[in-house]
Amino acid sequence: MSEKELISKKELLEMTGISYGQLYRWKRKQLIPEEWFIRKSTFTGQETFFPKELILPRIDKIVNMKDDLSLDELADKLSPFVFDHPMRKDELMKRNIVSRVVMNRFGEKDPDNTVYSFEQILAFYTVDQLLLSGAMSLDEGELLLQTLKEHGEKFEGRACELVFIRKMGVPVFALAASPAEMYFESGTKVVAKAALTDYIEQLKLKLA
Amino acid sequence: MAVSVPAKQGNLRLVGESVMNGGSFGRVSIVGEGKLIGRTECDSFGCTGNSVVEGDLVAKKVRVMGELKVDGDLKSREAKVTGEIQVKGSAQGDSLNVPGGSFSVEGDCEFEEMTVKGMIRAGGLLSADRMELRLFGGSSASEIGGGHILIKQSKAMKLKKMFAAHPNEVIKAGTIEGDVIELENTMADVVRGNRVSIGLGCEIGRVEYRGELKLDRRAKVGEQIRIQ
Repeated sequence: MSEKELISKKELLEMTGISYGQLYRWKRKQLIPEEWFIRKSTFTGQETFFPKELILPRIDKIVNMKDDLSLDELADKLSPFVFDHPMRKDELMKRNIVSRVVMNRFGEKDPDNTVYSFEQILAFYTVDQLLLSGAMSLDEGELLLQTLKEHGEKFEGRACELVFIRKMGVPVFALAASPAEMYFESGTKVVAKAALTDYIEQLKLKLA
Repeated sequence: MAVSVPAKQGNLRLVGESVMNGGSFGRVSIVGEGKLIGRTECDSFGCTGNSVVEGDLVAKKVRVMGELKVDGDLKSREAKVTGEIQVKGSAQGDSLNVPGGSFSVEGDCEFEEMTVKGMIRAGGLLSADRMELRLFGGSSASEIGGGHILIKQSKAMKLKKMFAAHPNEVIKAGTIEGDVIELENTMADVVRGNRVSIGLGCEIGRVEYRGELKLDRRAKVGEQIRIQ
């Protein structure tokens, strides 16, 4: 958490033009996660700080959406059912949620302070897990990442299964709504079959 | 606040001294001394006498006359307490009304509306959109935050002070932050707000305000800073 850019509550209110009342109300409705409230003692006594790159987009989102939705509806949207837990690249590596190998290969171009969305982290994590199982090569990981990026969001809110097959050495990835029964022609090897929901569960625990 | 309670469940009635397992109920009413073991969810929870919930208590409505101890969290849309409630975890809901008595929470205490006459204690954050506290003394909170915050000493306390020596403050808090803040007999390190009024008997380390500041001459304030 050390190099995260923090913004004090006072600065936040000034920048966004919201009031104390609103901020506390949103906290009560869990629109702003408890973990984002970082208490530190300063020379003026206790002050609350927020991770800047997380809180500003969130406030923006709430301000823009609150006219159309009630706060309770908003709360449902933002948390905790739709799990939204963005995290910085360097923190992902530091906490060993995504291995260095994967990060270096697929996220090399992104600077250290890039904030990845939960979906992105999930994709990295899935690739990482499959690599660890030894069933997949790094090059194939690229393919998987592509698949998840392209089709992952279509399964939002639904259970989804990842199927990895190989025939004559050619890898194929598929995403299927689970439970799905699948049969393949002979000579096809099912290398891995994994429920993405399991990965989501694991990842939630690790991120929290 | 979304308190999800399963619909259409059997009612539970405990009379006398009794122990029961928790679970989901329609109406729970306890008369005398009751103990519920495990998480309890219900439509309404009423207690006259003493009761203990060993676990979380989730109820649309909570009415207590007497004493209630909750070992876990308390979630209730509407809570009305005459007497004493102790919560080991945190308390959340829409409205909290304590017409007389004490409410102590070891964690955070968060309601949309809060009216307390008597005593309130929160180990963590005490937060409400509209908060009206009229206190006897002995209250504390590490942080208070919300829209409109009003803290005064109760009439009974005023009377008592005429006859016996008492410390000036009725509540101690670390920071108090709100849009409109009116304080009396409050001891706090920092007060931050838009419109702030510091009344008699207050001891405040530092006041930061944006709009206006009213200071009683009998209040002690270390620093006052206007933020542009």
